[in-house]
This record gives sequence, C-alpha cells and structure tokens, in this order.
Amino acid sequence: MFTQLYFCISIVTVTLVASIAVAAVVVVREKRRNKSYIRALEQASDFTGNGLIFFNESDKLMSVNAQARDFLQDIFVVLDSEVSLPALLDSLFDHAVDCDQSLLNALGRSAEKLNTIGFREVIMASRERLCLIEAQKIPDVGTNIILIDVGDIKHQEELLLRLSQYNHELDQAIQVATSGIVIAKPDEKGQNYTVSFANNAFCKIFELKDGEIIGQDLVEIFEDIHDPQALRKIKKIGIEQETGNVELCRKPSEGGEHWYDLKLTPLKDYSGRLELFVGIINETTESKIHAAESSKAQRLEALGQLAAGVAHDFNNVLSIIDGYARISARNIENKEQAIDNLEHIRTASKRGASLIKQMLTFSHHEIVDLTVVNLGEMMREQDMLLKPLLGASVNCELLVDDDEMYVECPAENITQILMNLVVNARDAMPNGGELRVENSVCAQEALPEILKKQGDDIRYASILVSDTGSGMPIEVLDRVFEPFFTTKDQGKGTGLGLSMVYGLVKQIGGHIDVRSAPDQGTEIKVFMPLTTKVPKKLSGSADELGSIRFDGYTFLVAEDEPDLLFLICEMLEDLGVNVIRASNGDEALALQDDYEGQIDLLLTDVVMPELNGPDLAEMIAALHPSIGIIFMSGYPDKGQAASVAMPKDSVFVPKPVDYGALIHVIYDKLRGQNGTKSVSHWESKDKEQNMEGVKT
Amino acid sequence: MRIALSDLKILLVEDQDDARAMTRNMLMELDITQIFEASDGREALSFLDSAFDFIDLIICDWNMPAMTGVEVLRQLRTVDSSMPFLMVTGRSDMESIVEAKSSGVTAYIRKPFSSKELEAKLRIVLYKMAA
Repeated sequence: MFTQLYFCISIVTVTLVASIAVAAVVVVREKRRNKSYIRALEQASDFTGNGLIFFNESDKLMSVNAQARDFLQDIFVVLDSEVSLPALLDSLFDHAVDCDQSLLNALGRSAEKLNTIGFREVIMASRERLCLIEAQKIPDVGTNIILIDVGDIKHQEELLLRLSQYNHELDQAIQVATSGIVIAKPDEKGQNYTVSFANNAFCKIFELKDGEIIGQDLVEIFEDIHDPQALRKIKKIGIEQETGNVELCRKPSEGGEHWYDLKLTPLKDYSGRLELFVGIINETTESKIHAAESSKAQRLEALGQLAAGVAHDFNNVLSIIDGYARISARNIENKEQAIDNLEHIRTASKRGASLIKQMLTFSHHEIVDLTVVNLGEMMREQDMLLKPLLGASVNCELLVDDDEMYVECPAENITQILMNLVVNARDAMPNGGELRVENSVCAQEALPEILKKQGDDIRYASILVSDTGSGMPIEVLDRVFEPFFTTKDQGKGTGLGLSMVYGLVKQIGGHIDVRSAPDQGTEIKVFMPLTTKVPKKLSGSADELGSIRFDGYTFLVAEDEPDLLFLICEMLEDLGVNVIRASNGDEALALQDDYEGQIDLLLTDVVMPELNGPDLAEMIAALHPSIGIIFMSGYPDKGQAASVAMPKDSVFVPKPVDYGALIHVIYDKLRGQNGTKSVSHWESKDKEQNMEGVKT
Repeated sequence: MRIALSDLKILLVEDQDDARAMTRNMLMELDITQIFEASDGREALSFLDSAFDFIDLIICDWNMPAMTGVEVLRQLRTVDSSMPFLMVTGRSDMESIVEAKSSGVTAYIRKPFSSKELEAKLRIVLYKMAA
C-alpha cells in the first residue's frame, strides 16, 4: 500500500516535475524566441539607419538597437536596463534643439500618460547630428521610440529659410529701385508675354496698381503709351527674341512729355528656349532736356559767330543799296542814271540773296532738289573748270574711277565741294606742289565710325583731295569747319568755304575726314552715300532715233485732249521718263505744287481752256526757273492765230505730233539744259514740219 | 463754278507794313481790288469772326510775333476746314514745310516772290479748293 502510494506520489511528482520542466522549457523557448524577434527587429532597424528603443509597459528598457546607442552615446554613458523612460525623457529635454510643447507635456506628466500624447522632437544627438525622435505608447505593450537622422532635412530647411530671406531682401531692393523693372513670361506659342512681376517704379510709370499689372499682356501695357514707332520696335524685339533698346515718349494726362529708355532682354534656358523677358525702363526726360539745352547753347554760340560775320558782309550789301537809292532820289530826273543805279541795286540784292543761300546751306535749312549724279562723270566735267584755277606751279592729277558711283545730290553741290577743296589746296601751296583728286568706292570696314553706325546697308563713295602744301596745326584743324574761320589774309577768304562744304556734305548724309600736320600737306576725304536710284541719263544719238532714252527725267505734260495726252505720256514713259499728267493748265499747276522732286521739262499744249499754255509756262518758269519748256501747237504760226501771246525763243512741236520729231526736240532741249548743246538746229525743221502738219 | 482771280476777296495778314504793302501792290497788279488787311494773327481772327463769309481766301505770313501763321491756321481750322489758306514763308527748310502742310495749309509761297509766282499760287489754291 505504502509502496503503491509512494509509486503514485512518485508518478505524480515525476509528472509534475516533468510538466514543470516542460513548462519551463516552453517559457525559456518563448523568451528566447521573443529575444530573437527583438534582435531581428533591432537588426532590421539598424539596417534602415534608424534607431529603435523599446520600453515595456512598466517603463523598463527592453531593447536598444546599435543605431540608437550610436545616436545617444553622449547622452547615456550606459544605455541599459537601468534607464527608465522618464529618465530618458529628462535627458532628451536637455538636448532638444527647439523644445516642442508635446515634449514638455510628456515631461510634465507621468510617463503613463504618454499613451494619450506621444511626442516628436528634434535633438542634437552625438557627433552633432540632428535627430528626430518619435515616441509612441502602445497600450498594454510598452513605448516605442524611433530615432531618425534628419541632418539633411534640417539643412535644407535652413537653406530654404535663408533663400526666402534673400528673396525678401532682393524684392525690397527691386521695389525701391528708381528703374522700372518688369518680368514677363511667354505663352506656349511664344507670341504673347504675360507680366509675372513689376516693381513699384514700373507701375508708377504706367499709372497701374501692382494688382492690375500681374497677368496683363506686356505689349498691351506699352500700347497705352500711344507711341506707334516704339511699339513696332517692341513687337519686333518680342518676335525676334533678341535684346533691344527702345526710346519711348509718353504724354501723360496732366500734360508734358516724358521720355524713357526701355531695355528688353530675353532670358533663355540651356536649350535656347525663351523663359522670360526682363524689361528695365529708365526715365530720360531730364537728360534729354539737358542735351537739347546744351546743343541749343552750342547752336547759339555758332549763331553768334555766324551773325557777326554775316553782319559785316550784309552791311556792305545794304550800304550799296542805300547809297544808290539816295543818289537816285536826289537826281530822279536823270532817268538814265536812275536806271543804271537801279541795276546796281538789283546786283547788290542778288549778292545778299546768295549770302543768305550760303548761310542756309550751312545751317542745313535750304531745301535741295536732289538729282542722281555719276561721281566720275561729274569729276571729268569739273576738270576743265578746275585746271585754270590752279596756275602753272601746281601739278594737278585727276584720277577718275569710272565705275558707276551714283550719288543723290544737286550736281552744283559736287561742283561747289570740289571747287572749295581745290582752291584751299592751291592756297596751301603758294610755291607750287602736287594736287591729287581721286574718287573711289569705300570698303565698308574702312569707313569712319560715324558712318558705320548709319547701318551696314549704306555704301559710300569718296572723293579724296590731297595736297603737298603747308598743312595745318591741330588748333586750326579743330576749327576748320567753323563758319568765318579763316587763316587767309583779310579780303582773301570769307571763311565760309569749308563750312559750306561741310553743310553740303552733311545735307546728303555724308561725312568729311581731314588729315593734316604742319609741312605734311593735307588730305581731305569726302564720303557720300551711294544711291541705287537711276541717274538722269540722256542717252542715244540724234542721228539714231531708236537709241534715244530719257531715263530718270521727270516731265510735266499738260494737254486737254485726253487721247493725245495718253499717247504722248505712254510714249515718254516707254523712254524712261517719270511723267506727271495734267488735263489742263490749272491741274498742271496744282500737280507740280504737290510734286516734291525736281521737274526737268514742261510739255504743254498752247490752247487750253481757262489757263492757256503760255500763261502756264510763264507761271511754271517763275516757280522753277531752270525748267525746260516745249509747246505743242496745232497752229502754224506758233499760236498767234489763236490770239495767244507767245514768249520769245519758244520751242515748238507741231500738231499732229510726230513722235520722232517730239523726241528729237526734247533731246535737244535737255542737251541744251545740260549745257552741252543748244537747241537751234531744230528750228528750221520745226517750221517745215509745222507747215506739213497744220490742218487738223 | 470757280471764282475769277479778280473777283477774289482776300484777307492779307502780315505784320511788316512794307511787306504787306508789297503784296497788296502785287495783288492789285492782278486786278484784285477787294483786299482786307490785318497786321497780326489776333486782328485777323477777330476780323474773320465778323466777316468770315465775306472772305474767299487768306494770305498769311508765317513768321509773326505773338501769333505765328501756323497758330492762326490751327485756330481757323478748328472752326472751318475749307477756307483757302496761302502761307507765306521766308523759311525753306523741309521741317517747316512739312509742319505747314500737316496743319492744313492749302499751299505755301516762299519769300521773296514775284507777282507771277503769287498768281500761280493763287490759281493753285483756287484749283485745289474747287477740286
């Protein structure tokens, strides 16, 4: 029985022990498994680079991974099971970078209450790394603390802050700038530009509020200025997407004028695509006024010099007029003498008029009738005139380049320019020397800077006049174009010569370069812009009708018979003439009044209603003394049969018009005008043809 | 129907007495007898105020003190766009001619001028106004 009991007890004990042992083994296994889970988690979080700390529900430290130890190694000398959650929180508070309210809350309360709160805070971890700590209480389990390295993020944040401060400063600087600044972005097509920024100064100039301007079309803002020329330029810059400067004139509502200089700059990305247009605008009104005033002052000074010089010359003219008028008044009965005196007065008046003309030319105020001349031809024609001026001691070499060099200017201007330059050269060589005159087309790169600025498309010809004379010192060279400045003895020079040349050359858009030094001779180079226009050219020969042409000439034709007017004009246009057609005398008068160029010839019918041919011719001749006049008459005796008084030496073409004869008469008339040949040999033929062509 | 030259009623505006007398004489040479004169712009405008319908054409000097010819013309054009206006100018630069043309001058004549030139210009003015 005892044995049985013992056996039973033993069995129970063994069973119990075995059970306990089994249970113990299970617990140990469970613990081991938990530990290995925790270690696996620690390793996994190490792998992510984050720190991980775990406290159990009684705030006992259960686990710390290597990364967490590394982050916190300065804070906790020993981070082991002795460290409680509240102690850890205390230390974190000491290391917080900017103490968050949630951390204070957590510290102020017991660790138990953390479950409702949790926190997130940035601390300065070991080795001065910024570290974000996030803690979260998991009910009935414990507290998880995760540590993340946020050094980079913090750095970026600081950069952003600095950047926004920098932007703020820049914005303030741009807003107080006196220049107007605007930024506009192109639309997808790159055709319109929408304003994305404008500073105060810009808004003020355009009388717009900041809010109104953003989103507006840039070109529309400039449209409000009503300066069409500037607007065209702005649009061109927008299309070409190149940097450009535009001068704007704005007339604000309160009156006056404001001038601005606008610079538009396109900003492109690396691929050359337009990103932005930046406009900078500055008011230039004051400097413009200043420049105008200073130029006015200079002009006044020049005018003063001019007036002093003119007064002298003009007084001479006036005393002649006055003198002869007095003599005549005293002795008015002596008719012959009075007529003689009046002639002197007329001559003096003409001298006065030519003085005025010279001055106007200098001041660029004279209207000039421009014609197209061939420089080489002009020089050859001048040769005959120039040679006698020079005297035996001066050896003149005329080097004419016969290439086509057409310059648009009055032919007499070339004569005046050449005469003045050649006479000056002669006077600089009283003991004789070499004078050279030559023309050439200028290479674009060899042009003076001032002409290069006029544009690449303008080409220039030059006339060079050089001498081996006494030359000029620099102080004379500086004043050489001043009116009335002369180094010649009194009575030998007016001082208007070179200043007139200067005026003539400037008038046609040219330029003069002078090089000289004492005893080194002088070189004067006159640059003149070349034209592509056709020069007036009388070509062909009288012997060969078909060869005659009148290219570049302008004729005024007055004829009241429409068909005849049509036929004559068509024929003339075929020969290269620019024809102004008039169907009666008054229309002819009005048309020539509107025509701004030079009219070379009037071809008019004799008998016309209202204003007849001779009266028309007389008026036209009064307005244009150099015009050539040819009458067309259906009457054999030059119009007398129609009771029309004809001017002396009239040139006639009989009606019906024989076109061949008409062409010949015009040809001779124009040759006569050119000073090469007179008309006369046609007179006899006229008469013969008149007789033939009368009765119509 | 165009007015004959000799029937023209002209207002002549010129500040210099001798120049005005000279033009008057030239007009009389052209058988024009109905000539009214004013020695400055204001006088001309106040004359036109009461006698506007009585005048066919105005000949006016450009360069006058107080009120220039262009100012007279501008004032006139605010009330009337068709009154023939012949501007007399001693200036011959392109700018002043362009200015005169743009302010509505019918024609201009450059000093000094002969009676033939004046006749031509008067005919031009009449023709342009009739057109």
